[in-house]
Amino acid sequence: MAQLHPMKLTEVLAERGLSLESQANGEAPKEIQDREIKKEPTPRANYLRNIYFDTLSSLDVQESYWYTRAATEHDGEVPIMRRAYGLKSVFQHLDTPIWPHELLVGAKAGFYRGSAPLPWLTESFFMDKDSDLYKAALATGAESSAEVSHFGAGGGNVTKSFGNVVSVGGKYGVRREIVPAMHRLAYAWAGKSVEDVGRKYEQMVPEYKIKENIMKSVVSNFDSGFTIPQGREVMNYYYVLEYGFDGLIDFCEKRAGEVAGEAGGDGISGMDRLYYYKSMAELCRGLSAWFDNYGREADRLLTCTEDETSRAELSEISERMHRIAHEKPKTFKDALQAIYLLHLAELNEDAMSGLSPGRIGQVLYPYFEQDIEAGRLTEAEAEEWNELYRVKMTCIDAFACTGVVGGVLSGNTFNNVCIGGLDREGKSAANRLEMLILEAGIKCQTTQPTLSLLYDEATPEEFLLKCMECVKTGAGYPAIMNNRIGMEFIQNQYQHEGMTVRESRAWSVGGCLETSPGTWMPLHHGGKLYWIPGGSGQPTSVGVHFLNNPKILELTLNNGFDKRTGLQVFEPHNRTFDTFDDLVDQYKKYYEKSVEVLNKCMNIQHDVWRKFTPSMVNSLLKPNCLERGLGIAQKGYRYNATFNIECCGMCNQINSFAAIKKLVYDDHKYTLDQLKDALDHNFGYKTSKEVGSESLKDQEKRDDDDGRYDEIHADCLRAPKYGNDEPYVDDMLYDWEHWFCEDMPHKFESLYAEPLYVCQMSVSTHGPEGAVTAATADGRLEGTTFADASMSAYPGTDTHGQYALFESATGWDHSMSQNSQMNLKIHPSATKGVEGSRKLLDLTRAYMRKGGFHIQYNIVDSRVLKKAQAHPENYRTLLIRVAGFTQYWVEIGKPIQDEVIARTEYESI
Amino acid sequence: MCKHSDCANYIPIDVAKGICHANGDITVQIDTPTCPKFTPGFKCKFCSHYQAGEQNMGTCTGFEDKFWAFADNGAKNCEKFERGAAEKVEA
Repeated sequence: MAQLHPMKLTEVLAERGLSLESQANGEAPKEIQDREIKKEPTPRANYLRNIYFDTLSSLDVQESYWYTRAATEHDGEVPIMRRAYGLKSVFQHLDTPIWPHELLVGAKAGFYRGSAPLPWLTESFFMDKDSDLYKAALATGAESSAEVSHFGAGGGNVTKSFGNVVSVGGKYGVRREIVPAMHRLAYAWAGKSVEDVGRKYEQMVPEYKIKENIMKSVVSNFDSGFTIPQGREVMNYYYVLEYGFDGLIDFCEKRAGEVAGEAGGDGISGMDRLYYYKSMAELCRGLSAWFDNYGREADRLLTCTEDETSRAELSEISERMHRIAHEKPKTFKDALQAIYLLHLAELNEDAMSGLSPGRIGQVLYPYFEQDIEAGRLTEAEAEEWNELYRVKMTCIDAFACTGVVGGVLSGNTFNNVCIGGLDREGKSAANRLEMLILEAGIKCQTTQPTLSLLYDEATPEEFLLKCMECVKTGAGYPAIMNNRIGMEFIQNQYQHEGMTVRESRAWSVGGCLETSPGTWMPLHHGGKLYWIPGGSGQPTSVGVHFLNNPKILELTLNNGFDKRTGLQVFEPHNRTFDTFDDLVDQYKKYYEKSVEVLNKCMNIQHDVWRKFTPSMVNSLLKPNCLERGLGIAQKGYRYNATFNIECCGMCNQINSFAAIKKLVYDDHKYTLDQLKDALDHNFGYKTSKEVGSESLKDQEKRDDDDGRYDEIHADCLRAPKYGNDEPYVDDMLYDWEHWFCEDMPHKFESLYAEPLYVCQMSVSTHGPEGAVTAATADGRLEGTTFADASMSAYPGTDTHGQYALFESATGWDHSMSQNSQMNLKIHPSATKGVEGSRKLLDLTRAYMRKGGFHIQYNIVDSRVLKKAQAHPENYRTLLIRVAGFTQYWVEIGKPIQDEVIARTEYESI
Repeated sequence: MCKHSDCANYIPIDVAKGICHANGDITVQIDTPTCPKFTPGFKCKFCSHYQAGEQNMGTCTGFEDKFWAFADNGAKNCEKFERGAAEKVEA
C-alpha cells in the first residue's frame, strides 16, 4: 500500500529494530513515574523563587550609560584608569532595588532578572538590523551560529516583541522608550569596541579568509574575544573577606606611592604597577559605594514600611550593608552577602558565563562554624540563606549574542559551586555547611548555582549518599567530578608556573566542567587561621571555541568545500584516500589548520580586550595581582596557562570513522564515492530545512525517494558504535584522544605565550553545530543534533549497559584533557529508596575508579519530558540536565529537548 | 503620562511589571493607569538638571561636564539628583 504520509525516520528505524527512544537494561514501568524525592523550600525562598518563575529576561542600560559617560569624560587617560573610572561610576550609580522579604540583597541590573549591553565590548548584534555595523558583522560570519540557534519559547525568554516591550536577540526584553538610548550607546562605541578594533587587526593574519569561512560554515561557532571574554573560571573572595574595602583602598594607595616611578627591575610591566594600584583603589571605592547604596535603599524603605517583621529585616540589611561597605565581614550572613555582591560585580564588568563561586562551603565555613558555636546562627537559618542564594544566583542573566546565549548556553550562566575534594593537608574537605548546601539544593531546586562534587576516595560515605539523594530529585546536580583526575590535570598544566601537589588540591570547576587552578589563602577570623580555597587562574575556556568535529570530516570528504554555504573553507587537498589512514591524516591537517588560524585571531581579539577592557574585579580579587601590582593583562594571576581548544560532536566523528573504515576499507562493501553519494543525498531523507526541524524524530523520507540508499543507511547505522565496549571503535577514540590531547595542542601558544590544552564538553553546541552539518557516516541525518557531551553515546546506540559504556569511555587518560563529559539518563524506578541510592553511588564509584573524569545524571521518566514538550504551560518548574548544566525545560530550544528525550534511558542499574 | 515604573513606591521586576510597595506589595503592570498614591520616583526626567530633548533623551547639566542623558534612566543613586518642579510631573 502506498504511503499516505512521508515516512518518518522513527518509523524507518522501527522497521529495522532501532529506536530513537531507546531503553536499556529492561523496560520502563507501564505507569509514568515521577521523581522520588520532593521537598519544599522555606516560604520566603518559595515566594522569591515564584517571582523568578514569572519574570522576563530584561535589559537595563544604566550600566551602559554610566560607563560610557565616565569613559568619555576620562578620554585620554591611561586605559586602565579610564576603565576604572567607568566601572566606579557604574557601581556608584546603579539602581539598588530590594524586593519584599529579601534578606540577601543585590541585583546585576535594575531588574529581578536583568542584564545590560556592554557596547565597549561588542555592539553589532543589538544594533538595528539595517545598520551598517550589523551588516558588517554578518559579513564576517560573526552571526552565522545565531542563525541556527534556538531559545525555548517558554519561561522568561522574550522571544517576540509585545506592547511597549521590544525583543532583542530573541531572548531579552527592553522597554520601547529606552531603545533610542540603547542604540545611541551602541553607536558611541562603533569602531572603538573590542569587537571592531579586534576585527580590524585579526584581518592582518594572512589566512584570515579561512577564519571567516570557518565562522560562516560554523566549523567554529563564536569569537571568544568579544563575546564572553571572561568566565569559565573560579572566583576568589579572599581579599575582601580578609581586609574589607577600606583596608584594600589603604593598601592600594600606600603601594601606589611605593611603586610610583619605580621600574622594579622590570622594564616591561614594572611601571604599570602605579596605574594598577590607583585603578584598584578607584574600583574599590565604587564597590564600596555600591554596597553602601543597598544600605541606603533599606533606609529609604524603612521610611515607608509599617510591618514590624519587615522593618526588623530592613534594619538588619541596612546595618550590614553600611558596615561591610567598609569593614571585613564578621558573620556567616555578612560573608555570604559580600561574596554574592562580589560575584555580581565581576559579572557586571564583562559579558560572561561560567563564573563559578567555587568551593564556597569551605570559604564560608569559618564564619558558619564560629556563628553556630556562639549561637549567632542556627543550621535552619544557614540553610535558608543558602536557598535565598540559590534564587539570587538563578536570576543572573548574561547579555551576549544569540549564537552564544542560545546556541551554546541555552540561556544558562553556569555558576558552579563545588563541594567535597581535599583540604590543604590532603584530608576530605567535605563539611557540615556543604551538607546544608546540598539540602538547600534539594529543597529549593533552581538552575543556579549548579553543584559539583569533587569525588575523592577520602570523601565520607554519608556525604556521598547525600549527594545521591540530591541527584535523585532530578535536578541534575551535583555533577560528579573525579578529584584525582582534576588534580593530575592541574599539576601537568601548571607545573611550570609553580603548581604543587598541595596547591593542586585547591582546584575547582569554573563554568560547567572546566577544571580550574586554585590557591589556598590564609583567612584570619575570630582569632583562628583557616586556609580557604579560591580561584587563581585566568578564564580557562577562551581561545578556540567548539570546533565542529563532524563538520571537519565532512569538509575533508569534500575537498575542503562546504556545500551548505558554497564556500571553499579550506584549501583543496586534492587527495584520493587510498587508505583509511590517509583520510585521518588529512582530517588532522584540516583540524590543525582550524586551530592555527583561530588561535591567531583569538589571540588578537583577546589582546585588544586586555588592552582596552581588561578584567578589573578579577584583577583585584585573584592572587597574586595585589602582591605583584599587575592585573590580568600583565600575567598578574598566579596561573596563566589557561587558553583551550574546545570540540563538539566527537562521538559522531568517531562513529563515522568506524563506519567508513568498516564499510569502505575493511569490508569493501562500498567505495568511498558511494558512501559520499549517500551522504550527499542524506540517505534519501529530506533536509532538516525542508522538514523545518533539526530534531531527530521529525526527519522524514523524501517524497521521491526510491529506497536506493536504504541499505547503505542501514549498514551505517549498524556499523560499530562507541559505548559498547567494542575495541574496533573504542581504539579509534583512544588514538584520537592521544593526538587531540597530547600531540596537537602543544604546537600552539596563547597570547600569554602559554601552552594550550583541550576541553571536551558540548554545552548546547551539539544542536546548532549539528544543524549545519551534512549526514554523517554513522547514519546520522543532515542537520540533526549530535550526541551530547564527549563521553556520552549517541542516543540509542549504547545497547550493552552502563558498564560497557564505562569501558569504552575510560580506555584513555582523562587527565590529559581539561575535562571529559558523560551524561546518563536513568529511570526513577531504578534508583528508588536507600538501595537505589547505594546502587547509584556504586555506579558512580565504578566510573570514577576506572578513571572517568565526569558523570552526571538525569533521573527522569522520558514520558514526563514528552508531556512537558506538549504542554509546557504545566511544566514551568521542570528542571533537566543538558550537558554540564541544569536548565528549565521550557527555556531550552526544541532540538535539544528532542535530543534529551532521545537519550538512552536506563531502566535499571 | 507617568507610568507605574515612574513611581517611588514601585520596585521593578521586569520590563512589563513590578511591585507596588504602597499597596501591600502587589504586582502591577507598568502600562496600566497609576493610582492616587503615585509619588514621582528617581529618574532623570524628574531631575532639575535634566533638559528634555527628542526621542526620550535630553541633556544632564548636573555635573561639571554636560552630557546627554535619557529620561527613564534610574537616578536613585545619582549624587546630583534634585527633584524638579512638581508641575513637570504629570501623574
